[in-house]
Amino acid sequence: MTTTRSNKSLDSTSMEVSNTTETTVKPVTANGGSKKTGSKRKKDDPTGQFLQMMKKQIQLARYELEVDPYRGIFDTSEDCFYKRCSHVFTDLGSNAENTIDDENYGISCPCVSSWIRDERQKLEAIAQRKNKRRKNVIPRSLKVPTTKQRQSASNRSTSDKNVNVEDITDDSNPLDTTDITSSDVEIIEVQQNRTSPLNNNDFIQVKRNPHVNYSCACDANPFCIASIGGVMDDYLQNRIKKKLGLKQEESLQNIPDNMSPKDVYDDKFAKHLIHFTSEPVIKSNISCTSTSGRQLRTQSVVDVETIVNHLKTVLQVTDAEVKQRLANLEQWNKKRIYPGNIRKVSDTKFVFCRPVGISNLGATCYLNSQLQCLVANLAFMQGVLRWTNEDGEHAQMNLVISSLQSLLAHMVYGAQAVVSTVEFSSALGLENDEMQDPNEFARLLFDRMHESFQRSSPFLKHLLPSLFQGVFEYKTKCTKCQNVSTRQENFMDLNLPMMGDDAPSSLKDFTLEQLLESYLKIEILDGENKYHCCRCDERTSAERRVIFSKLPPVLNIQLARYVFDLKTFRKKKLMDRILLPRTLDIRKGDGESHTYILCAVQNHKGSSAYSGHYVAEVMDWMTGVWFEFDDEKVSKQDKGPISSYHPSQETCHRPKEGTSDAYNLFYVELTFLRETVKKDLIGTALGTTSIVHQVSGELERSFNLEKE
Amino acid sequence: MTLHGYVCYVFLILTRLIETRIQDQNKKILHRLTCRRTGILNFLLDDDKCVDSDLYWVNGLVFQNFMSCRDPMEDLFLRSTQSNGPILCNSQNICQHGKGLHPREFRKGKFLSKTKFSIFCNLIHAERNVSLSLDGKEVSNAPIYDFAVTSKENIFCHECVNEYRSDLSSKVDVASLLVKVYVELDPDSAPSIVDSTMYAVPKSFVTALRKFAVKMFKFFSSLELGSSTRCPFPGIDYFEISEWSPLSKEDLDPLVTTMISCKFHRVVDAMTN
Repeated sequence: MTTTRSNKSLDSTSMEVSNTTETTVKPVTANGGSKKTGSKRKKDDPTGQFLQMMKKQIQLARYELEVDPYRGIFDTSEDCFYKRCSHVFTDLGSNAENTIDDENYGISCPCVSSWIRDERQKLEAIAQRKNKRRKNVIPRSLKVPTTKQRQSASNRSTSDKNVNVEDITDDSNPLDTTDITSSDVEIIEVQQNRTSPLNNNDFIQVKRNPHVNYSCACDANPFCIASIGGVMDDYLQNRIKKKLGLKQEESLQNIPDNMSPKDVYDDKFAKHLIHFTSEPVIKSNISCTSTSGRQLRTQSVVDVETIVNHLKTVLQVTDAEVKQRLANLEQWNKKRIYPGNIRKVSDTKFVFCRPVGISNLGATCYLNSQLQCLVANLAFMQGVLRWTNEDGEHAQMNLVISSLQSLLAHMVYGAQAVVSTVEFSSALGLENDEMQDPNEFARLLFDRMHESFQRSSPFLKHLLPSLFQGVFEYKTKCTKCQNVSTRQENFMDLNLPMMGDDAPSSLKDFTLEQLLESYLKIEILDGENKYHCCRCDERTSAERRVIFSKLPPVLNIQLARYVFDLKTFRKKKLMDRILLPRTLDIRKGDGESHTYILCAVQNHKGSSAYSGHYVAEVMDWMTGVWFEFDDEKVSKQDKGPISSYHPSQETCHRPKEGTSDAYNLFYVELTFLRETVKKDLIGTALGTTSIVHQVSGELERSFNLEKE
Repeated sequence: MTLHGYVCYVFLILTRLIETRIQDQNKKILHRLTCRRTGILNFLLDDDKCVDSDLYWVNGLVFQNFMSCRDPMEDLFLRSTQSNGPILCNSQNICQHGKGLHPREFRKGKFLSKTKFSIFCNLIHAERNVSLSLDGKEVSNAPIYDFAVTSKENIFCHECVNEYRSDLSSKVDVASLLVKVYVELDPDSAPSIVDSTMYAVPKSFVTALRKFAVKMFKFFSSLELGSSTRCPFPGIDYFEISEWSPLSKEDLDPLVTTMISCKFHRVVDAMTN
């Protein structure tokens, strides 16, 4: 989760729900003091006010939908509505004048403010009644006020300016002077200066309703503790008294700031207090994974044997060369780990720089897993890092590629253990809280990238087709005239239908080879599906087969798990279990065979086509070490992807169950992998590009900063 | 002394003993509560200068009981003593995915600064130990909490957020639609949208629908969660449309046009209603 969404946060004006509503809605339901304000509010439309309130509630809910479902944690803006309640202490702590001009005493919590206003209304009503009685009594007795009465009256001359003007002209207003005789002039003069029956000494209580079931809106605001009640009420009371210069509760008055807890408590209690200092020790560990994104890269320990076997298989080199390669690799890995995070390991172990995780922006796991699959592809990386904005225009697609380039560079050369896709996602205009199909997303991205690369160097123009594009050949043979027609078609990914209900009942778990075989088998075009033969010039029965005339270096196989269910008219996920071969032999139409090695698997966890979670299992091309990427969480996989097997293994050693999660598979052609790894792209060739220089500089600076 | 007198005497002695015991217990509890109050007023709340950016989440109900200084919280201490486990169990609030807090669970809590959180824990810890030692029980070193839930580390769970947002989104849609329909059906204002297709709706239906809408607006504006509160509604998420079917068929016609259509053929034959 990132904190860069403050631009969407609701400002204080639009979030003025509580205070506004308190004031406007209250007279409708209020008792006591509501009567005197009724004369003004009668003219208002209460339903209109409710409607406004409703609109504001919708606005608040949209804030949770669009900005922060955790009501302000991730919203960095200062005027966040929910955080306003946490300012209660600073409000009270300010050295304002000792007045009650602000009828809420400056407390920003809407709930506490509403209690104060309620209390104020009650007190005002009582005071008004008292004054009314006095008004009725005085003219009858025609008594000249005593000195004490005069003093008492003059004490009340400090007025509350917040009472409505209409209150004074109200029929029931105790300050109405029409019936008072000339002998009361002195008292009237005092009373005419008043606009409210309350004064400073009529202190207003702050009290939460003590009823057990009572609940207020701020109970649902984790930032508000002012409305918690209990001792907090006493505390607020004291602070308000302090602010008004009134006498405070004794228990708070005489405690100096530097007094320790042991001076306050008796021995019985004090001896059980631990670590009661201003800088406390939090003893327990936090269990969940970190989401801070500020951690520097750490090491992951790998068996040397795993890497040696991979290098020997892929590079087909001598032991001496393997040793040299191993030394280079170790140096390259250690360079990116923060020195403080490197631990000593035995000679049989290898210090591997743990790959980078990607933070989830809401529902962007599809994007994260797709990026992890792509970043492991050295040739793709090479291409993207070489890209420069040659036409100099800041077109939307250039922005997308430059942010992708920066992201990939940080993933490979950066210092941070977790990176964020905020920039890339916003450049693409993605809705972060909306899950998308990773394959559709990849197709869209590739299309746009390809379009943008066309304005770049010849190498980049052909980057994507040279990596992912293969060619199919459809051969259709008319059974009547035996004529064969051929049609070629390019593909960037191979979409294999699942067997579903057509599967033989004896088969519970399919292998990928079986799916591929089923895909390539001869199809009979008959019945309603007859073929129009050009030579016969009629619809005839035919045989159609698909063959590969060109195979891509990186084969992207997508399993068509999502199908449309005609019974429910909704998409559903086929849960067929698939076993994944680590090597795959595919024969071209001309008989030439190509060996592919499994290098990445994108998994969809969950049984619904509309929800779930995407994770990626990816192999490091240089070392053959597998990692699982679950957003920020990166874990090493000693045995490679779940449900994968080596075809050379005996059947009894293969996994017992296939996976119903595997969704998108990447296979790399062995000779292509060999050539790519031999070039040692990461360590040497790419080190020259400007973006790599820039990120490497950042890495050094981060490490130095951390050391300091 | 007769037997009856002897029984009465024993009964009186026992009653006195029990009374004394209860008084002692009450004194102990009162002592604890007084200490708690002192601690809260002087240390927990006397913290203006605190600028901790890291916030610690605590269960709202536990914190409210603690702050009330009326609840001795003995059930909490008893559970911890019996299981020798932590006094504050945040693991009970963690979401099913084990990653953090569901937004609905999250807002049932309160945030404290690191300093406040530490003082809160220490006061709870001291109270538990005082309670045990005064009862003559062994004071164990059980942890105060199982693990801390902090704003920066382990609150966010994206699965829960997705679920919550989808749920809330549907409620917002209903509420927005209701506002829109209410405004559109205002008899005093001209229709804002001029459409080629016009629909005939009985006046009685419009009135009933607007009444229903107003009732809901009132509910949203001042929800009475407790005995008497006029505080604003704590959020649209509290709204459950399934619980809102208070109107009988007479109030809100489910077929909408019954009043203005032919009883048998359902054809609108009058525009006067």
